[in-house]
Amino acid sequence: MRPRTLTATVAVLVLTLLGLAALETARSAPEPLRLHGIGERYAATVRLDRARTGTVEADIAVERRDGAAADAVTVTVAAAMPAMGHVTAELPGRQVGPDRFHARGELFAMPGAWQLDIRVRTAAVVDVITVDVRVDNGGG
Amino acid sequence: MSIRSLTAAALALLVSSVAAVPAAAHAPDAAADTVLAQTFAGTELTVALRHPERVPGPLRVDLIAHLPAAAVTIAVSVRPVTSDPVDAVTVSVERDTARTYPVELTVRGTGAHWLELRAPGEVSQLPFRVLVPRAGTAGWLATGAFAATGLLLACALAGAVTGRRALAGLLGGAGATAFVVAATVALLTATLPPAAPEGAALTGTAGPQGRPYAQARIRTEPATPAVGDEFTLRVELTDGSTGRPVDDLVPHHAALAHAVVTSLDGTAFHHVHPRRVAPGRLEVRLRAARPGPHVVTVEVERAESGGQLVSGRFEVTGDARTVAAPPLPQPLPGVPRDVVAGAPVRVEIDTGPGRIQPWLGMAGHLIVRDDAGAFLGHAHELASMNADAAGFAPPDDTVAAYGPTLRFAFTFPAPGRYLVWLQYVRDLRLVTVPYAVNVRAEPA
Repeated sequence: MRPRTLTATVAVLVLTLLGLAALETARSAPEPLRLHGIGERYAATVRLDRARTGTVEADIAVERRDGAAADAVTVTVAAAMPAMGHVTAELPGRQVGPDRFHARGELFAMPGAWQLDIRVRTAAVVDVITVDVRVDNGGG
Repeated sequence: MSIRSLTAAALALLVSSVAAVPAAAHAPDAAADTVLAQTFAGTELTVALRHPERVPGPLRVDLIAHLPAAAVTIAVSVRPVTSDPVDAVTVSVERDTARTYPVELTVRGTGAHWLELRAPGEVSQLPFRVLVPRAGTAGWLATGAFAATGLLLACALAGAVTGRRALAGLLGGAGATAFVVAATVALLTATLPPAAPEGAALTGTAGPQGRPYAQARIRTEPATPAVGDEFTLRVELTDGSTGRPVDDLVPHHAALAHAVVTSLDGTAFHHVHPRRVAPGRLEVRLRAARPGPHVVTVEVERAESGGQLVSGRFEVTGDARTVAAPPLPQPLPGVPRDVVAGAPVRVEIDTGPGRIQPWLGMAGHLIVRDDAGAFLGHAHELASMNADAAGFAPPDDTVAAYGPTLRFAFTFPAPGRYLVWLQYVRDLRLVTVPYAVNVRAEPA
């Protein structure tokens, strides 16, 4: 094999390997997740920075389903894994704007099918909005 | 290879590639109907949801009213679990008229939905999933390989006709390779697990042990109903591991929950199907027929789990002398004179003239309770159970496909007196016949 051909072959192989590595990195990189659900009186939209084990950042927006001005006093988020009987403690939502809250902490103990319970408390009612979330650490 | 033979081979492969259509990998449950019984507004309803084949698309729902039926207007709506209703209609159920009320709604997307029934003072939420079949990776691969085969062979054919033998040979070889890949994948597709349909649930990881057990708090509203009055029986189900409401019930013998409510003396009997009204909360309205203590047993099944029983008791106040005496239970027919505990016994009952319609997927139900109210058993009619086990879809509730003789097999677990209720449906009328049987101990 001529040196030029050998160099070209090695270059193609290296580029291919780099491309595959980049694809794998992109595939396994945690991506933000947007979830939406409704309860009896409220609707909630949750943005998770990632659906993985470990510390998670959750941005929660709530609104009244009847269109009236929202009057949420506190918002918390907790997670449960019905298949395994796991539940995590509530994370309090810190109010960061009108009807917008931010929570940070560990929600998911293991990969699998989980549910988030967003609990909206007002002076009069407690509404629980449950949404499904798939927790996947990538590659296992 | 001559141009003639190359052309013939290319044509043969081209025809084969067009004729061979890969089998799409469909999950078997994507096309299955969801059939759920509900005790709603004083009527025993069977709600059959005929799954849509596409979205957006029509969702056909049959409401089958059994006798006795109350006159009621029912608002039927459908909504995804994450949003408000997307379509609604109303149905007027006629008093004591056994018939099917078909309605058509529109669904806009796949995934988890609620079918909601509303009547004055009552609501029922029936969970179902809109599933649309989709081909798996193997299906797409086979389709792509067949398409590549066709394209390559067409080009090879063109090359052969125009005298470019080398190019035609190259394209023909590539086409043949693509065909082999396509045919192999298409053949293997049948043996691969089907792709999950669009809208399928997130698969859990419960494993063979199933989900945690459910615990129940069973109450009545009012707390102590009076004989002759209507009351609400409320069942609150809680997950034994997390304490959260249990909101993952799946159809179990064609209902989300079966509640058997009997007076302790066995003179009052209800087999009803409570409505899901909120996460973990089931309700059913009943009329207290007899005073005294009552026993409640509720059979449910959680997703990825087996069936389980929860039970409770309540008291009905009143004077037994003010209500009509119930008919005395007859001896259980079609069984040996001596029924022995621990040994299976065959029960054969002639229901009289006329064929029988299935109810809850079976031709007949034999519900067995011991005298103390501590044991509750439930046997299904053998012929319909055999058909179910063989994989035959049960006929619709309106099809008189069974009987008139019903056969059961049951093992009474311990000596004593048992109360037995036979239930079947004829002409869409629910028939309940009480029996009693004394079971003796196995001789030492």
